[in-house]
Amino acid sequence: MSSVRVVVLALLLAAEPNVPASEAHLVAGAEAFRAESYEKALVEFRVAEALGSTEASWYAAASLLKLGRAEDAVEAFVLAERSNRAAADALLEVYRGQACYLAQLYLCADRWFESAASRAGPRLAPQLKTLRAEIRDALQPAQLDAAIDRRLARAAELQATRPALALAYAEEAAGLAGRSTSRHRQTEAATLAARLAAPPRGSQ
Amino acid sequence: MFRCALMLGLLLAWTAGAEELAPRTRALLHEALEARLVLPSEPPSLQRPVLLPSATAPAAAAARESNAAATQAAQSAAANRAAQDLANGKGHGNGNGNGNGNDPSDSARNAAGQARAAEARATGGNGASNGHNGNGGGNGGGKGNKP
Repeated sequence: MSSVRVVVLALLLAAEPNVPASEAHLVAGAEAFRAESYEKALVEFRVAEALGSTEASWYAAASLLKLGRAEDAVEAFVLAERSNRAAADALLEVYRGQACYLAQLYLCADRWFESAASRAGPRLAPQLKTLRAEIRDALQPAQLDAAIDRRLARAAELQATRPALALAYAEEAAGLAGRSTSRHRQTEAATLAARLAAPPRGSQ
Repeated sequence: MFRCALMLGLLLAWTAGAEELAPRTRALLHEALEARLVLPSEPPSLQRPVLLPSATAPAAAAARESNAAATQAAQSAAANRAAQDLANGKGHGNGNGNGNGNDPSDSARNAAGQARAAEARATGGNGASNGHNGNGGGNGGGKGNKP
């Protein structure tokens, strides 16, 4: 085939309106999610993700939350943010906050609820404000040290196998340590969080 | 040189297009999430133990299996699509008389069946519809109503 024909063929290929292969799976996932078929939604979003849609990762994370897999959802949101930070909107931030909330990562939840509340509508914003007030009340100083210990222990368990999830626990522990009057294990938590947040060797 | 530049340009354009989400799809996704949004009703408590690893490890393993199946689905679909595009001179979705009349998303659906089976295991379902290598579940998995 001559080079001219190759170029013409390439131009013709490019001229066709390009519908991403992942699009159909995103639509199917949205329909399944709406129908409360969260397992099916998750599979559709995962297929879309594998076909190259980084936005699908956010919706897969939301599906995990609806399936009651809060930790998996937290991890999936962390990974989704790494692959496409710009895809998040206020609604996805509420879902992310919920995942953190259900995994008892309350500072994480508060952060996402706060971010979402600033852009949420008149129905949702007051509810988020109430949740944030409840979180604030729950962070009793007397309970912080034990809570930090539990979160650091979980981070240590997960750091080798699921570093993104371990990071969420380590950041939570560091945040709680900052509120502790004794700064309980603050340096340890901050160091672990910093290490987990750093990109793995060889990835850049 | 010219050809290289042209092909690079086309590749970049294709990549950009692949990331672009249609407004209708975005609206569907947003509506679905909004319709199913339920805020937590249980009050927060620092005293509860964090989630136990024993409760989450099997789910995580099955989820990773599901991800692998989805990746395989995507790769198969992309390869089939490319092959069919080439055979058809960029025609889509037709039986073309070249012995290549397969729907390019068939293999995606097949492997999606495997993904469904894995997800069913992860969420405590029985995965019964995927008992034959996942393929049966993929083909019969309700994709017929896809727009």
